[in-house]
Amino acid sequence: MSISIRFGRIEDTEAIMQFMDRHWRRGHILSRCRDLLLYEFAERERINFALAWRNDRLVGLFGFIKYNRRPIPDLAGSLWKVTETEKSPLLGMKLRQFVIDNVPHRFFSAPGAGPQTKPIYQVIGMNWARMSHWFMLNQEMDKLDFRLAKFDGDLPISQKKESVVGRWSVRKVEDDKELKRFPFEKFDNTLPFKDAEYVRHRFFNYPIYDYQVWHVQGGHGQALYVTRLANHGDACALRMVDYYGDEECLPAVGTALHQQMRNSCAEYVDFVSFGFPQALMSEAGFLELDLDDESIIIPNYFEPFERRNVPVYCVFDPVPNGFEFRMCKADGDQDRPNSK
Amino acid sequence: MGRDKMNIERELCKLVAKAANLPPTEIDPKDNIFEEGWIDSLGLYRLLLEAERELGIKLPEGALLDNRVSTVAGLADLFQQEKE
Repeated sequence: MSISIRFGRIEDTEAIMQFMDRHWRRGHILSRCRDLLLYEFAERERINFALAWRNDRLVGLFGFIKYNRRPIPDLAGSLWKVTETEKSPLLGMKLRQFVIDNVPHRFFSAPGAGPQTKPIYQVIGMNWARMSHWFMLNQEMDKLDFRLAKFDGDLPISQKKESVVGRWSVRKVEDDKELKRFPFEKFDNTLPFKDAEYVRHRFFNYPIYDYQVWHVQGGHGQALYVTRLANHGDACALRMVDYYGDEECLPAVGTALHQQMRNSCAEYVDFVSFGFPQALMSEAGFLELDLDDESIIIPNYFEPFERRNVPVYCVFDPVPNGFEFRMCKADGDQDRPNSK
Repeated sequence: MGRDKMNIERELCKLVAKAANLPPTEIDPKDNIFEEGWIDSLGLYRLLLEAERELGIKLPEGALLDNRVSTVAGLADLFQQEKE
């Protein structure tokens, strides 16, 4: 019997959850929490997966997430898995191609790509890159007080010379209705393009994590950035998971993050991302973690907590002239819980 | 078969043999490389990257969905076609 590929429907939800539990990650929250799966992937009567069926058996899937509500949105790839026993060669590629051919989109990218997927993306002409892991430490803490981060030598000190104050305002966006005032359309040449609905759904209404959305403005620039606290035991880290807007605001964001880190007694602030200019990140006070060196450990996994550096990879379409590609930790299906 | 295609086929046989840890003479270009267990999907991508480098020919993305990728002879067809 041949394979058939079609979009997922809401009534396929149970089959998708069972498939993920058996063939992807046993016990993962998405295979146990129907509401979360639907929150992330449902779109009206459809659940945003391409599904491959052999007879009535689900043998592969490829998920996708839209970054905006435009008719031709930017797209993120998500869960991608074919059963180990499936003999149909290149079924995974056929699933991906089904989405590429049937979901109109402007730009495709995916954070959290497995290292093993590198040759796949290289063959099809996509970019494959390691994301940067930026961090700044709470300099009010003594080296011995760090329980999450770890250093063999002295505490690494950022080069931030002075606080950026004065003409900048940084405030928490308390109500998603305020997003209407943010000029999302101004950033049309940022890939992926995000809109107010994306921010509302992804951060304001997210059912599990408690995200804080911040607005920074000054001069001719403004931006949104998003943070959350990640805890392990009685220690915590402040994680910036998204940044969207004018990058000239980054130094002011650095100052604000420093303050927020101190206020929450976090050990460090970090930001896993790709594409942000090194000079501005340094000016903001961030240091770039050397992921090949274990003398400084800035943990990235908290569920369960792992005290090690973790490289994160992303893939993306060739970037057209006049566009800028920026990838953040919470893009696509990343920065979500693994267990419940 | 033209000389070009023969050379391409020979090169691909070598690469498949290397991936399968077999002597190149064991590779019949008409056999299905997946069914013979010589290579899996991921192995195919690695092989194609190496073949593209060795042959100096880049296959278009759509080629991966062509049924001919299942045999060395078919792959040689695809590379030859792209070369022309």
